[in-house]
Amino acid sequence: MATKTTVETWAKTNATQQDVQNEQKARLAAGAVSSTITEDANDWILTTVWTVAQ
Amino acid sequence: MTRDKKLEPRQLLLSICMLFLGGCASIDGFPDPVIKPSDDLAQAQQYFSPGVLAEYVKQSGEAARRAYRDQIVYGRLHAYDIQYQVFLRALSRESGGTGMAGDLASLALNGLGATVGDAATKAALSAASAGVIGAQGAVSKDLFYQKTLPAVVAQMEAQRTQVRAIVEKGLSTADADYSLPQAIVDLDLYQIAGSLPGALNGIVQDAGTKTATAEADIRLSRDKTFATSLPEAVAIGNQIAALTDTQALALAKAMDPFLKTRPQGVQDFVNGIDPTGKRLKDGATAKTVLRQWSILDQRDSASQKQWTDAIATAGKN
Repeated sequence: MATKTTVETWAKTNATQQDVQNEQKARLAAGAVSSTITEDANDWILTTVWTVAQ
Repeated sequence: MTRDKKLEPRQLLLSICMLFLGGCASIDGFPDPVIKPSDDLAQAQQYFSPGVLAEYVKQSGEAARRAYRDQIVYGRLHAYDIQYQVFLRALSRESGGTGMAGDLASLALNGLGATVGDAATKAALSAASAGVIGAQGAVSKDLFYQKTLPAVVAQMEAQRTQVRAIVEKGLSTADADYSLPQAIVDLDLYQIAGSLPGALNGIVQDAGTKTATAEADIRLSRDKTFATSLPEAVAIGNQIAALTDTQALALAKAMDPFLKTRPQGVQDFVNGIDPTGKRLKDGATAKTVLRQWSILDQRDSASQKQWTDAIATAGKN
């Protein structure tokens, strides 16, 4: 199974956790295989796995 | 719920490996199933009925919808497991014939030589691969079954486990977070993961990219405008989802010239999920790729206008 991963970073000054959770749902609805949110001191990080079209 | 009937693949894998590694061409490597697979599959047809999604939508409330989702997903998982078991049996019987060895051996040996085993195994696989290629298809059947097929089966097992983990994780969440249509997409991947082409694809991918995982990530930074423009992006995605395949194909062609104007990360993503440009030839692929592109695309007003104008034009097809 071939996949691609996108790592999107939001500065916390630009987005709330709820914003990123909404983005996460949108990624899944668009056909992502999985999507997870992590955070560090300054950023929200949305990591999403997509399937490569054959 | 049919979860308790699930296959025990590791036992099957062990059996198949022992058969091949021992150089045995027996066709009786598995015990007889308690229930005939054909009977079991006939019973599972209810989970593949065309009316399943309509019935799912009819369920009212999170609890009812989640219960229905779980029932369908586990029913389908069980069906795929039965098919996989039948497939492994057939694969075992194939050890007495010459069928697929020529097609698989050189591909698999090349990939495996780079990814599995200790130095001695790698050397043996590399030598075997050279022998296969040099002999122009005069494959050593014994070598193929002793060295290659168990590893291909192991790859299938690993991929099935990966996808199953995604499904199980999804089922542990609310229906609103993991819907039945989403689960069905994952189940399709589960079925592919248990196939020889899927396993070979995984082996070749591993050989080529395992050491470059970091480079495979596509990194994007988002600003406040992007974060606040999600509703518009979702609306565009919904419009794409409503297109026919013909319309989606027209949209893909209309949007293609704009791709090179996008940030490199967006271009890399689109070219990554559709490396062969299939979206420009196949309507279903176009819809899948465009939905993913649109949700990750930049969200300035000019870009969004390109989408809405192109969708309006494509909708006339």
